[in-house]
Formats: sequence, C-alpha cells, structure tokens
Amino acid sequence: MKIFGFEETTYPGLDASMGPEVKITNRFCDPKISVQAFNEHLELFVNAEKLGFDGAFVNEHHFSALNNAPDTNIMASAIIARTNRMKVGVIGNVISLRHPIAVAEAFAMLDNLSNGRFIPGVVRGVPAEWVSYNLDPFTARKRFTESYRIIQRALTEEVLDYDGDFWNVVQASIWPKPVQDPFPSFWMPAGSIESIRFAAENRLVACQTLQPTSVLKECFDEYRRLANEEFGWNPGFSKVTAARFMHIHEDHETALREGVDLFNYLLLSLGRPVVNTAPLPGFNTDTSYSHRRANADDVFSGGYASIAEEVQKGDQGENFRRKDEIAAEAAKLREGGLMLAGSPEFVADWLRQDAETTGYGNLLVSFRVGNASHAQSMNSQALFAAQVMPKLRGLNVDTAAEAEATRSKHVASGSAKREKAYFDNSNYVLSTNAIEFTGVSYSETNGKVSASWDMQVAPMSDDGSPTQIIIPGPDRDHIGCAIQVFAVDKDGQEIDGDAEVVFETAAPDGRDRHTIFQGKYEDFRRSPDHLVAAQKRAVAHNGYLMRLSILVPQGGKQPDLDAEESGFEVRGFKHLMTVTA
Amino acid sequence: MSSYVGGAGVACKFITSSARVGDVKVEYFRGGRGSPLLYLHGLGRWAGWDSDHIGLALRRTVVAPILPGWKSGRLPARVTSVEEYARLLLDFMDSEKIETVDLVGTSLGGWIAIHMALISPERVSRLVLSNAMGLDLPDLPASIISGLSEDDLYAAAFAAKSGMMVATGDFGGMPLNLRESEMFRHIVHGQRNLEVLSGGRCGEAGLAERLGSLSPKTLLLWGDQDEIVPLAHGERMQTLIPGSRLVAIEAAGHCPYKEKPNTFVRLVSDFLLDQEETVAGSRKMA
Repeated sequence: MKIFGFEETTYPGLDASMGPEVKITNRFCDPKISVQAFNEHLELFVNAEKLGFDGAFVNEHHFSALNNAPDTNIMASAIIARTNRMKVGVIGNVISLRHPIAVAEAFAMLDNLSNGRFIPGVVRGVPAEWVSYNLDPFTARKRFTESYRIIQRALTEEVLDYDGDFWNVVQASIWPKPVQDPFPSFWMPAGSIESIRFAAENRLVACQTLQPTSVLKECFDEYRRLANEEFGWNPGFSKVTAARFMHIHEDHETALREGVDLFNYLLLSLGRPVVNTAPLPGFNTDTSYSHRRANADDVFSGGYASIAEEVQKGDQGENFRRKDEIAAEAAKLREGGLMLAGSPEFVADWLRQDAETTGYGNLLVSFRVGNASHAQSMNSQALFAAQVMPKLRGLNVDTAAEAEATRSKHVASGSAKREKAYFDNSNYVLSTNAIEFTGVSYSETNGKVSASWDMQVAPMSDDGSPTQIIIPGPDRDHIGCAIQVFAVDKDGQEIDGDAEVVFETAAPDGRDRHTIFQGKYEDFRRSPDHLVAAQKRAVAHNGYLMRLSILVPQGGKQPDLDAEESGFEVRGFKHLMTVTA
Repeated sequence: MSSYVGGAGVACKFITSSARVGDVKVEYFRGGRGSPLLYLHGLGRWAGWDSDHIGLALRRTVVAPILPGWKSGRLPARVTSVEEYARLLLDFMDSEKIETVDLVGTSLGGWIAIHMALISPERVSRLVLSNAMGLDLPDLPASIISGLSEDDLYAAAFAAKSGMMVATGDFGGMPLNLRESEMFRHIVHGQRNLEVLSGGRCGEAGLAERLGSLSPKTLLLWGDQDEIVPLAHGERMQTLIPGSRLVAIEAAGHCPYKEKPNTFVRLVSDFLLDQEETVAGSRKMA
C-alpha cells in the first residue's frame, strides 16, 4: 500500500466554545496564527518525507476555517519547494471555478518544479462554492467533464483547439511540457454514481473519505464493477484511495478523548456565511446515491450531520466526562468513518480491516485534525510512521502486471515521431497574383533562353515598417517551403523535363544573392502537384529582387510564361515587422 | 419570454413577504431573477425555500404564496371553492403588479392553476401541472381523502413506502424520514383543509370538459406511484389539454418535487428553456 500524508490545513485559532449561531467569517482569522499554522503544516509535510511516507496530498475548500489553504496548487508548490523525494499531489482543484487552461498550466509547472513528483487531482467542489461563485448547479457535471477533457488534452497535445459549451480554446500550446510521460492518471473523489462512472470510464483514481468502511466498499466495488463490465479494464489496488482523519497517542484513552475534541473543533470550523437553505438541486441527480443501501440500521443512516449532532450534544464544554461517554462518542465517529482515534496498535488494526474490506491501495492520512497542536500532530505522525505504517505497507499491492495494465494512458502526442513534410506555417503565397510580381522577362545567355517570372519586394511601407519575405529552407521540423511550377510552350505543350529551373533572390545592387532552388523541371513533374521543396533558406528584404527562371537550350520547347496554364506558387512567409503583441 | 439562466448564489437568496388582497393577507416567498413564475403548493404548504424553489429560481423569479388560511385552517370567507382560490390569486397578482406568469401548480395547486388559466388565459404564458387534482369523471373518479388515517394517507401519497428515502444532500446521500417530516405534518393538516374546501374530494365534475379551452403551452408532470391522483388522471388531462405533453417521474408519488427534486426541477427547467433532453428517472408518455 502507498501511504501519503494529507492535511486540510484547518485554521486552529477559533474559540472552540462558539455556538452554531455565530456567523463565522474571516474576521475570526488572526493572520499571525494563520502564518504560524502554515509553517507548522509545512513542517509536518516535510517531516513526512523524512519518515518515509510515499508522498503528501493537499486539497482546497473555500470560505471557511476548515481549510485555510483555498488554492491547492499553491500549497502543493510550497511543499514541492521543501522536499526532494516524495510525491506531492492535489485532491484537488475545483476545476469548475477556474479556467481549465490555467489549471493545465499550473499542473505542468508543478510537474516541472517537482521534477516529475506531482500527482494531479480534480474535484467538482461543494455547493457553497457554487453558491458564492453564483454558478448554475445544473451545469456542474458537464462543466467538470469538459474542464477535465481540456486539462488532460492541453497537457498532452502540442496545440489545442477546443470548441466546448463552457470554454472555447484557440491554438493553445502549453509551456512547459511535463516531465512525466505518460502524465499520471488524475485523482478524483468518487462518491456519487455519476462520479464513480466517470472515474471508471476515464481511468481516474477513485477516492473516498469521511464515510464508513461499508460505504467505501460500496463505492469502490461499483467502480471496479463498472470498469470491468462496461469499460473493459480491471483497476488495480493503486486505482483506489481512502483518506482517513486520525489522532494517535501512546495512551488509548487519551487518544479517544483528544480525538473527540479535535473533531468537534473541525465541525465548528465548517461554519461559513453561505448556508443554502436546502440541498442544491442539479448538483447531483436523484439516483446519485442509489447504489448505497438506505438501511436504518446501517451506520450510514446515522448520517454525517446526525452523528455530529450526537457528538456535539455530548460536549458540554466540561473537562471531565465519563470514560464510557467518551468511548461511545469516539466509537460513533470511528464507525462513521469520520475520525479514527486510538493507540497505534488500535489504529493499525482498524486500518487493516478498513483496507482489506474495501481494497484501497492508496491511503491518505491526516494527523492534524481540527485545532490539534503542532506537538500533538507531530507525535501522532511519528507514532504512525513507527508503529502503524509498517503493518500496512504489505497490504493491497499491485502485481507488476496489474500495475502495468492500469497505467495512465495520457501519452503526450508529441512523443510520437512525425513524418517531415513541407513547411506548414505559410502565411503568404508568391505568384503572378502577388503584389511583388513585376512581370515576365526573356533573355539569352550562352545559347540558353531564359524565361523568368520577376518579383520585387516593396520598398518600406507608409508607416515605416519593414517587410521580409522569408523562403524557409529545410530544417529540423520540415523539408522546406513548397514551390510549384507549371510551364507550357506557345502550343500549350508542357515543356521538357530537362529544362533548368532556378529561383534566386538578391539586393537590387546584386549583393546578398541566394539561390533558393536549382534543379530540373523534371523534379517538379515527379510530384503529382508539381511541388518541390526550397533547398536553402533565404530572406528577401525591402526592395530585393526575386527571379524564378526556366532555362531551355535553343531549339527545345520554349516556355510561354504568359500562357494561362503556365504559373508558379511559392508558399513562403511574409513578415511584417510592425509592433504588435 | 425571458430565458434567464442564473446562478446558485442568486437562487438561494429569498425573502418572505406578504400582500393585502382586500381583507385577505397573502404570505409568500420570493427569490430568483427573470420573469415571474407563480408556484402553487398542494396539500402541504411551503415551509421555506426548498430545493425545488432554488431550482426554479435558477430560471425565474419564483413567487411561492401560501394559500391564505392554509396555515391556520380557517379559509378566507370569500374562498368557498377551488375556483375562488384562483380568483384570489389573480387578485394577488394584481396587487403585486405581476401581469403574466409561468404557472406551476402541484396537487391542489394544479387544480387552482387550471382555474386561473381558464379565467385569465392571457395572464398565463406557460402551465406546469404536477400530480394536479381537478378531474372527476364517471370512469376516472376523484379520490376522497378525508377520513384516511395518517398511515393510509402517507401510503397513498408517497412511493417510499418504508417512510425513508435516500435524499441527495450536499455532501452525499443522506437518509430522510419522510413519514416523520414536517412536510408530512403539513400534508395531514392540508387533508383537513381540503375537507373544508371540497369535502375532501380531489376533483370537481365539469372541469374535464373545459380543459379543451386551455391555451397556454402545458407540461404535465406526474409521480407515477401517486394513489391520490393516479397517473391515469395525468394521461386523461394530456388528451384533453391541447398541445400538452406528459412526462411521468418514476418511483415518485404525489409529491415528486420532494421525492425526486432534481428530476422534477430539471424537467420544469427544460420546459421553461424550451429544451428537451432525456432526463433519467422520467419517461415521456405523450
């Protein structure tokens, strides 16, 4: 099993005795405490690397003290900067709140900054975010799908054009390119049937948290079933993730007592100004959770909210409570999959059962729950690393074959070797229709008749901006720009293949002469479109002359360049050197 | 006709207000943006701004009145029939300076909506009737619900016979005890009110014959497990109301906006936006 650290970065400074009637806004945030909390969290993450965790994950929530790090990419970046070996992932970006190109760019940067240690993750978000951002919840699923596709393609395609319902992307080529090729599978929470299906179809890593073992099992079983039965692949252990909040102490009862208080604080920190009066419609469907049993005896039926109610009822703000009351509260939290508190041995046993029942190969572990102190969290983490982690490592490990079968398919398109073709970025065609064309001329040299199409690049333009006509020659990416020539004689007969064809350019006074092409007319006839590639790159500046000549010995078929069938095209590049973006 | 598509933030904000219509006070909830939509409740009065209100408020300014007298059980003197409720609500529209509405009525609210559209067709742009009472025909009689025990009333009204349903909450599936809910208490209260209003009968003779003159574009939505106003009533209405469509909502009873809120809102929303997509959990009947 792979084991990762994971923290909500909960702001620890709220007055724990506040009641639910208090509207919690950022006026309760003391920036000094916030700064200290960030430093402590970062220390906890760095320590995870020292202790041998496989990596660290961060997430984001908005508008509440629960998660003081509302930009998961920034938090990941801070961890990346302080670590060297372990993976760093996000679970994840609320992608519907951002532009997918921005997310793709952030992911590419995080990959590079970590030299390939980054694991991408995406989430749909929670209704409070949809309310505050004033988005239409009925579009939630479609937005998520479209955003995911754009992000994933932007990271693996050279140039992206995407015509979507929510975003249109035109000719976006993301820099940098990721180190990881193939780019790793994205992670996503998969609790609703639609999310589970999406994850199974697109081979994302399915994650679940804050639910009992039985619910995790239902979700993961459904994910595996759909993958196998509908989408033709078998997810290995590495495709399934659980996140567990815990508090470990050498003394079991201390752990239980502290754990209950910590979780109470977490519940308090959930408070935020936005409280929608009823569940937001459209975010899910009426059958999103039909794959779960609605058994009144099931722990699930206690519900997240009702367990919280029970626990808060028990908290009278007194320091002394009966041991069995605490044990009962802790048991409720534990069985509800909300909070696991105990001695290392107890925690190890529970997690082993959890993992074996549900089959997850990735475990995210949170040690700083609620307002746990730095000392408490570091101690919890240390105990876990020493006494729990070794017991879990050997569980749920993919065989090499399974790992290979479920590997990411996000192969960068640029990896494949491309056949070189003609220069394909032409923005200008030289021909008898171009303004540079000045006319046809004939002359005699050494017994050869030369028929030429003559061109001249215009002098400086009115606004003083110079022009360059660039004829690309062969280079790393292409074989040169395409030149097309077709010539007939006075009787309309195509000229002979042994005619010489020369294309050159020079300054008006003869300096800077370049021969762009020299060959036989036969070369053109070899291609069905009468195309050849320029042999050498040349640049014709303002006033430069260009001449495309056909030389035929006296007596051979003389080219009639004024004939309608005769013509030429040079698919070059006109560079107008004005100051534009 | 506005095709406003709004956001969750705006749709979650609402006010509670009241209007004076003669000597009758009409309390109502209002929220959302866009052209007005009048949302009429049935046996159980609106208790607040629920998922269905939020959903409709994404598309329209939703005005959701509580039928005057429904809370106290003392109906206003002028309300001697369902048609009188319709006239009162048209007067309410006048007092709120609302000229035309999209009219959505569920259960008794649907029965009232039919009357409103018959009295003042020019003031109703579109009509949505969900498990609407109203029909009483020899071959399709209206139910009489007075005298039903609470258990029998629950069983007739809801597809979730165990009393529990898995609702789609904000953080995942959550169990809802419909049987013990405040909403059902209101329905029981409404059962008593209906007895006063119509002797507990869920329809009136002579209404079916008049449905042919309904002019607004009409959508009929029906929880297909309803035993109070069975699907057959919706099917009959569809044949009688010109140009109307009927969509059955599966595994829902008399209150599909409660048992299947996402499906219900999605179907109404598509209708308001002139869209027609397949919505899982529903089937087009005609």
